[in-house]
Amino acid sequence: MLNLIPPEIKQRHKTRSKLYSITVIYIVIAALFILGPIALATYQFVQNSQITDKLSEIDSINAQIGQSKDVSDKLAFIESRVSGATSYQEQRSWDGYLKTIASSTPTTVQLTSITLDDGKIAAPMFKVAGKSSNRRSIVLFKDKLTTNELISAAVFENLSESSNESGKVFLFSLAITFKK
Amino acid sequence: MTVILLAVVGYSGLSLIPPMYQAYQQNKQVIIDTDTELTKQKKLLAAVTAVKSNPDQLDTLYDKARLSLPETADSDILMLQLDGLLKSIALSDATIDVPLVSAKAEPGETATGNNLEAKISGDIDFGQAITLLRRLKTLSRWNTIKSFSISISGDKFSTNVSFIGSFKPGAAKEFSGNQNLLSQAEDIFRDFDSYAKLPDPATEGDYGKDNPFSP
Repeated sequence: MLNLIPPEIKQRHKTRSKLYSITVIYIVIAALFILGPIALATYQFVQNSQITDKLSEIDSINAQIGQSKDVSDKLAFIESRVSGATSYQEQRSWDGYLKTIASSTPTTVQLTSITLDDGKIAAPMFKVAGKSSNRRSIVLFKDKLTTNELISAAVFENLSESSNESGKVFLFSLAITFKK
Repeated sequence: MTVILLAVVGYSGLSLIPPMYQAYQQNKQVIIDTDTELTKQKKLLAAVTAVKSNPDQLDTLYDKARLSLPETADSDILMLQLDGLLKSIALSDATIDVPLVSAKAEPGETATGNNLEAKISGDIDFGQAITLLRRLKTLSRWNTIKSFSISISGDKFSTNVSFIGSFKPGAAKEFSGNQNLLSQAEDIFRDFDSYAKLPDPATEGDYGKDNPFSP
């Protein structure tokens, strides 16, 4: 098929087509750079009004809480005590430690003292002194203590002998360390 | 022409968009923070409102909390409590030693920092010592055992129990809004016993003497 359109008109069409494309690109870019800031400005406006609303709501709530300040102060105080309970209150049952020692004491042994020097250490250590007319009972006492699962060690610190009107008496002192 | 226009629009767009976008992001963070704060305050208000409907429970728990861990040493109150505790186990003859010091202990005083070291001593036998230690654990004034000794000479016992009566000066932090606080506090304070009625001059005692030197 023959193209009978004159070359001048063909050239004009080409130029018009290029111009059209450039114009479209220009409009798109211009729209992006103009509409973008407009959209962001709109978002900011919405955000600012949201922030203002929320802040005024917080102020209103604070005012209501402020009217009950004595209540919130008391609650804060109670909360501080509840959270500090384990730090300030004794967690160990010391009577349990004494009962453990008592339950391991042979009937032929008399304790004369039980001392705890430091109630804060992780593995509490008791110093126990006593006497018996039977040396074997004293050793049995130590051995019985070491079989207790709560006790990590029972070590003699002193073992001596003395006499009185009823005969020989064996004196001892032991260091008993509990696991916790 | 097109290039010039594009350059102008591009330059103005590029100079506007980044700061606006930055402001948008900052506002987004502000909204998140404000939402968090609002939720916290709403929770706080709900908790405060709920408690206001039961003021007796709040006052009772507040008194218990003050007794458990007072803001000052409160040596006199501790002394009354220990007196009551010892009477409850028939140990009225035992000696109570509570240093009467202020919250701000001076050098040389027994109470240092937030600790008030008290002692109980006397002719306390093994069984009584066990009961004493058990009751100290349930004394409403929170305390921790520092040391103790039980010894016998002949048929006479000599027992010393040294313990720290705690106190915590300073204002409490702001209430967090914990809605279960009162039930938690009920659980914690339930097992403690004061062993003493706190003195109240408004309802207790007769006052006024012409001659205060008269017996």
